Amino acid sequence: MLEAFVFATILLGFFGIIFKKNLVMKIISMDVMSTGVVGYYVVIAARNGLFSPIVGDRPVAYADPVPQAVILTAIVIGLSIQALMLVGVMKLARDNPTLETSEIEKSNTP
Amino acid sequence: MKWVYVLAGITFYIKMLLVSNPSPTLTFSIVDAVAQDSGVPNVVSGIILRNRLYDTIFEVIVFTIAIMGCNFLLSNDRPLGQIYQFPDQSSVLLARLGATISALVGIELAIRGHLSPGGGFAAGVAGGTAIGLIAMTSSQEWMQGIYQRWHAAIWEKISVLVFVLLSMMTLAGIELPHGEMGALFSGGIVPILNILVAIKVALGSWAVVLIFIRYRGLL
Repeated sequence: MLEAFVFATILLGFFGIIFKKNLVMKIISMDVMSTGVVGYYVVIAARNGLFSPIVGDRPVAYADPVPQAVILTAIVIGLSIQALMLVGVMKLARDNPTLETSEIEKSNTP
Repeated sequence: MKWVYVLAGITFYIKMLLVSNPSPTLTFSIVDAVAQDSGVPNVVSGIILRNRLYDTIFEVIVFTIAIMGCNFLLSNDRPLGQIYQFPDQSSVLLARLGATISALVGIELAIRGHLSPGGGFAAGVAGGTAIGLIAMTSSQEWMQGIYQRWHAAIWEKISVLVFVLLSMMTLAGIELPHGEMGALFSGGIVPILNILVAIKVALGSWAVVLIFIRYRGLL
């Protein structure tokens, strides 16, 4: 059930990237998609246990630490890529006074 | 053409839901094994800064390059002339209070990242939040002056270089003694790398906040 919702989030973000024409909307859709991917890793990690994988005094069912460690990388990379994309969009919006990709393509085609 | 994409997406969705996703059954506990290897109770920190250290080096490098790219792309732009800050006393006070708490949380997450939930990246983001809160309410020239007076950009580069150097030594097989598991000074290289990453991420997000405020304003 949770997996279905997570996949729906990923899919909605993907369709947003493809179908939205506004550049800022594309970036937001990409964020939605990466949130879905992070959620999927968390769901996968929590299949065998729900406790955070920090060794304590008594043994409990820990979540799998490997997917969590893998996806932490993706979170940080996502943050830096977003900052870079926003700067790129700022530059584009200053050169062409619009954020619509079709308009930008039209005014830049020779 | 749109419908092809929609159909492909929906078929993929149904495929992912229908295909079974078996989880492995291991005879030993991953958490205990990694904790034994790395000597830190917080296994996620242990994996990131020991088992997957090679990956983390490039993660830090990508973060550095993205910040340098923001700086580079905007360097020929004209800064915004007038920047509107929050002038009223109450929001200034609230932002300073929040910044103090956030900075303390950041230090706590950095030095105890190998024992409790936290770690370098979370600590750096907490520190960056503190700096962002201050930047929202104080004048931009003052922030820029502090950034330059303390040579924050150079310290950021130095922390990245030291991180890469220490990780290369760790990857080459040189390990510090693990010490007693669960103590503050334990876990070999992991706490040091945590603190370096925290410094790097905090200074990097400071740079990004300054760039965005200078060229774009607060709104």
